[in-house]
Amino acid sequence: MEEARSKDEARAAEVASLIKDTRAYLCIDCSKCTGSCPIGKAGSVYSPRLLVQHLVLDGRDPSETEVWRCLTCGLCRERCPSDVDFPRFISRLRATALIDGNLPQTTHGGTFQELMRIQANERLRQNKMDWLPEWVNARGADDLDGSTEDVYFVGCAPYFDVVFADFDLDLKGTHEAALELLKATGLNPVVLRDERCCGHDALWSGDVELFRKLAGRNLEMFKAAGVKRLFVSCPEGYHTFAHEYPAHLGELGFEVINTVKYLADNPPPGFDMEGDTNTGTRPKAGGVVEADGAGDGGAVTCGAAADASTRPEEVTYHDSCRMGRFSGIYDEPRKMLAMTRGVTLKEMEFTRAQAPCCGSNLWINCDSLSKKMQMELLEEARKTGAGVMLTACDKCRIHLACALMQNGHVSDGLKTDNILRFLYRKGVRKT
Amino acid sequence: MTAKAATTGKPTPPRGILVIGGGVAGIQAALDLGKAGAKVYLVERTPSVGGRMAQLDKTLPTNDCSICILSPLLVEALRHPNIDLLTYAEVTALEGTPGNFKARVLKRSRFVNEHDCIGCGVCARVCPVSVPNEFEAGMGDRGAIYVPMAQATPLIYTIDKENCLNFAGGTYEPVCGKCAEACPKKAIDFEIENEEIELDVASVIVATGFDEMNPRPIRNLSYGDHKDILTGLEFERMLNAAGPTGGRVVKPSDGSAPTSLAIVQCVGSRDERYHSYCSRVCCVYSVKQCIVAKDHQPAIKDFHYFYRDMRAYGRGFEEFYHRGRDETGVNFIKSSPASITTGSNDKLRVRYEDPATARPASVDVDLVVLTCAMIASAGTPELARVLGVDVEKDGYFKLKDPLGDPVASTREGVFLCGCASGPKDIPDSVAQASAAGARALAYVGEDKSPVEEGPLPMNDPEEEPRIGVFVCHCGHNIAGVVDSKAVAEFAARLPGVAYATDNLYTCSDDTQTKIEQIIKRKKLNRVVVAACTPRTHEPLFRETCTKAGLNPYLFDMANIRDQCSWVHSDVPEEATEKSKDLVRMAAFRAMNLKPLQRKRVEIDRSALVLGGGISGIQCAIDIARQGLDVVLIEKEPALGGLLRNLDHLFPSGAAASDLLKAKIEELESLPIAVFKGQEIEAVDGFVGNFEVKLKDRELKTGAIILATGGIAREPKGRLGYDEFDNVITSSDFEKTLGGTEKFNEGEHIVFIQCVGAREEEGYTGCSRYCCQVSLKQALEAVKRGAQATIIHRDIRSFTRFGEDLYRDARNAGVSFIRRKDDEDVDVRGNGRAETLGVFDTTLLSDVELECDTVVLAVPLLPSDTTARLGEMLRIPLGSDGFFLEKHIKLGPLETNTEGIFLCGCAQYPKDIPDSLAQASGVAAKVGALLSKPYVNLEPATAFVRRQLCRACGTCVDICEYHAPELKQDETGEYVEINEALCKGCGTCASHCPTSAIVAKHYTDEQIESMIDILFEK
Repeated sequence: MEEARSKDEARAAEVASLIKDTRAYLCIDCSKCTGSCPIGKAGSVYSPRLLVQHLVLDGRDPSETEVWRCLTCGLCRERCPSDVDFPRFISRLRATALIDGNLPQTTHGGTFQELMRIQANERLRQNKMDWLPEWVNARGADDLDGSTEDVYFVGCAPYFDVVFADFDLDLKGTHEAALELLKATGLNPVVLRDERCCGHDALWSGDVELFRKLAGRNLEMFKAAGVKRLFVSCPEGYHTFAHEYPAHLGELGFEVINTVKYLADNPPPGFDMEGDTNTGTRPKAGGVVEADGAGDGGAVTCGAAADASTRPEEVTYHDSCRMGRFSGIYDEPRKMLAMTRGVTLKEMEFTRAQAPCCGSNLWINCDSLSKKMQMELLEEARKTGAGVMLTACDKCRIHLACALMQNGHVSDGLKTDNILRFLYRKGVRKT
Repeated sequence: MTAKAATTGKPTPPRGILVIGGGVAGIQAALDLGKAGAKVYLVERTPSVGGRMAQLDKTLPTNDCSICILSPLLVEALRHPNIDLLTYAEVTALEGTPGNFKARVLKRSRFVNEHDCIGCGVCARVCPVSVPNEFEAGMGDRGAIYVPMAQATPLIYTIDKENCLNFAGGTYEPVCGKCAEACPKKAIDFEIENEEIELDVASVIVATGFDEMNPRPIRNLSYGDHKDILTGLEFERMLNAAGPTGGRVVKPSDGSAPTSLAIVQCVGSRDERYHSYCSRVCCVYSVKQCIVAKDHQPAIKDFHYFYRDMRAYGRGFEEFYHRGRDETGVNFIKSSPASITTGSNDKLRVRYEDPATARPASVDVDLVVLTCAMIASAGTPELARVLGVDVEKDGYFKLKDPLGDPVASTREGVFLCGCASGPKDIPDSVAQASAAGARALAYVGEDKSPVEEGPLPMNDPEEEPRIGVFVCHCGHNIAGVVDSKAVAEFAARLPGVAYATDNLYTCSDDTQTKIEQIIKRKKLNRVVVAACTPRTHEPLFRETCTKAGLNPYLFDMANIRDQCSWVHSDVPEEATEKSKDLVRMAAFRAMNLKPLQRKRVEIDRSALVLGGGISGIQCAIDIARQGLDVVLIEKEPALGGLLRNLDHLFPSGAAASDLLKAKIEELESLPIAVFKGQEIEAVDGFVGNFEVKLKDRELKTGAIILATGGIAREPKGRLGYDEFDNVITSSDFEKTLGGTEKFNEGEHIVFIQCVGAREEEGYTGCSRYCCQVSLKQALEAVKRGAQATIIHRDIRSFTRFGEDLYRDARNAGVSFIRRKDDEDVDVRGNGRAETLGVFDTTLLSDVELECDTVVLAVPLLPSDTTARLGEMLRIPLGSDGFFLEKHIKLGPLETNTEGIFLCGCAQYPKDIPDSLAQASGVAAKVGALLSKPYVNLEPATAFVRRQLCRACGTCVDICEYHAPELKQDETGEYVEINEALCKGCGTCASHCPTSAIVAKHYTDEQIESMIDILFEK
């Protein structure tokens, strides 16, 4: 009885504090969120406004499905005039839902959730790095001496390549490209063989305990390695290390660096801003995108001179939520593309902070709405006329590939690629 | 001050007042000060005064043409001998101390000799450059040599160095020269340099206005991606008859007529990522735009109006909002759109949440208008540095004490008005402008020389008539329908007409000069203008006649705009014919006009303030500071009025008693006679010469100020107020908050807004301050341990910092329930109110609340003396029962009776800063009125031909102004009309059974001549 009461009290305290922390009180009932939500756009009903107002006004929790339905894409927060942090609002409610035994509908038989839990095991040793380029110094958990200052974090890509082998996405290639590009700038980062899952999905699914465990294991290892700079290419991983780790576990003591951002600030040889003699459609000085970042839908011609005989390759770029809205990295990928020879960026109608959601997140709740969002995003990309849609997020690529593959074939030739893989191929490897 | 000072050369210029910004606020301040006798330097950054108001199409809720009511003020300022207009100029330094500032002003070169330019516009026609015209909000083009608008004041062309080909390299290099070649006056000179001047000024008024935020960064609204998405100001220009489309509402993408329109409110306002404050004017101006758009483009069938809270708080605004809904058919949707994208068939798709179902929805429209935030005028930080004053973090100039002093900046002697200190509508800006004027005037001391008004020129009425007729195009406004040229040609052939012509804008400054010259050259002895309404423009033309040596009563107007081009816009030929008839009638009347001479009467240079609330106190202080005698009368035994019911004040949290104490101390430190517990029993007299009877004495005064405030409505029979002890009003609850007592943990206080306001019957308007009061009280209650819920229909926290208060209340955990407009709250209980039932439109469900206290936010009603005073003083009341101001936009401080002024809640409910601004503003008006020891009386009055009067008394009974009086002498009874009281309305003359009464200037002979000539053909 007493236990129940204290449980209720704890819950009430958590609800009160999450309302405060996410600024839910400040919701002025303007409705922008509901109109913005991709779930609503795809044809269902989802009103962040109503969920917030209910919890604030009459204490009513979201329903069992509502609490898991949100994609945490953050478009609502982006447009909210009161900066109510709805993604965090819902993810903190997920923690209370989990306590109540309300679990999400996992995809892929729960494989990825299982994988996360396994990685929390203290004694786990992994063998996921056998594909690394030879020059990379990869060290196991038992081989750390505090001298490895620059560390590169790979993440789940090797596992995804196994599960999604059919899609033939070469996700490991993203990291191979990242390492090569970093090397080209003069770095020699070390990879930790026994790095753990960053905990992103656990955190946003409300499993804070698992997130803390995973984060603890990683931080222990980083400390033992002596990390000064941690390079991360995965947008989810980057945001988690750079923002969630300090928020939950305090000061890190090392710097977290996004690979694309680093490359844009320290362009490797072969990428430069000189000249605009390209055959592109609309030359712009230096090829830099507009200063206000408005992205006016036009083409940005890339800087370096291409072989005059070849037409520039037209690409489009999708701002994934964790890279864009959550981390604010919009200009750097565009700057890199502008510095790549023979490439023209064709922007979609809604880009940067207004970019649409890829339709799926956290390996939960994938359904026909998800597919609809993916098809719409692909359609937007096709409208640009570009042959390739680039993104920094390989999870986006998996979801989009899935939408394409289920149609039996890649119908119109639109491909997706990771921006790092693309940059490496275009700028350094020159295949 | 003597007349001499004004006329003797310019040995040492007197210390003047520097007014920065020539919008309606700056102009108003300059005029008040000029009339009060101060020397004014009005510095305007652009080539013409007029500001934002000049860009607007109509003003609401009367839908008056904005430039039409503003233009006479601009011309008046230009012509005023005490006002120097320094246009195309900027203030670059301000040194010294209050009372003795030295200001430096950089007059940028126009490269056009100001004295030679005649404003003919030949130069602009030959200029090969075409750049977007700022005045048209970028919707139209102009050359590198230009005037921003047709009514530019002064009408002098300016070469914009940035765009002129001759300055392409930064310095002058003769490349083009077409304008200089074309100029008939050889006024263009590319070698003219900037000029720096130094001015001795006693004080400074900053009236720099606002800019419209560029919504481009709000990418989901797609401004800039689609041509058919406009800002509010761009749409305003499109609606304007003189604007880039001639008032036609079209889709800019293809010029076709739109059939549907979406209005999006709060674009960049009330948004913490951009501007967190409320821009205060947008909700209602958008309603106006819908009404005007429907009028200009009947093809528009659907108006989708997206809003957050409908903030229709001003006089007549709520009714205006209903008019938009009921007459224009605007579909008001309480939802902020999420995005605007390309829809089907070249339309724009607006995505939003349907508030009725909480489901996402979208609508495809032809045109979208974004009502963007009003932001501080560009250059504010630089000017703030020059002036040594602070700015707020939201970018506007900072008020030293936003609550207790609505115009003081952070530097003594520098005052703020209009939108320089935050968004405001026109009447609030105008009131503040006068207030800043009153405060600035106090620093001038004796350096005042009011303009003397001598006798009018008199002409021989028997002279052969030589009539001059001027027919106005009013740009497109008249000439778009009426063939003004043909009307002028017709007029030229009328008997007695010696000269006739047509003008693009007859009211513009250059046309006045032209008319003056023509009167002299052609020896005209009658003038007829066929243009707009004499209501706004007759004074201007009369002044022009006077200047030309013609008696102003030998002037007449034909209103071919309202009565022809407006009402017959669909039949242009008939409209032209009717215009000819009206001109012919006016010309025949003109032949019969007689010159009239005005009468000068001595005045009592003192003022009487009625009402000792915060407004009355402030007004008395500001009048006394000008060295005038003031009497303050309060009917209660103590001063303070409504303020005595308040505990602490938003936004500073200061105690109301402290503010009141400080003001009363200031009042008592000045030579002001205060009579408490007294009421006016009778009033007699007229402007400058009122006789006021109190219980025990009689007073003479030159001006009367009504600061009689209001009383909170008692919510009898509403929401359990009569039944339950714990249902109280806001004022009752304010007393509860008087101490520092904590509430019981979790004690629930529920506030219900609009109890007896914004209702279909009875009090239809918004009481303007109640939302803020409840927000403040709820926040305080929560801080003291209670729970608070506000049940409202719209939260109208539009005031300066009001949105911060709303946010603070939300953040502190105050709950908000939005009820339906037409459904009351159900208050239930047994002895005490225990539960409330209401449908919450946010949650779309019925909710039940337990309550410990219910606080009813009741509107303010006119004080109980209002009706009696209105009758006694002949001041009309509005449908809301409050005193009516002279003009809803430009005359918020005056009444229709000269010498009687209004301030504070006597006009309509207001908060403290707005009341204080009005109070100080009235002081400026009084200062101007009493600046000379006399006033001139209107000569067009009625008189009695005694030999025909049978003393029936009909006129005595019907006169609104108590002008006729029954008298008796040895020859019998008769009536005499007091010229000073007579308004010349002619009612008595029309009722007089024996035609004994003659209304001068509207004699039977004059009227009949018009009728005869009309029916002659």
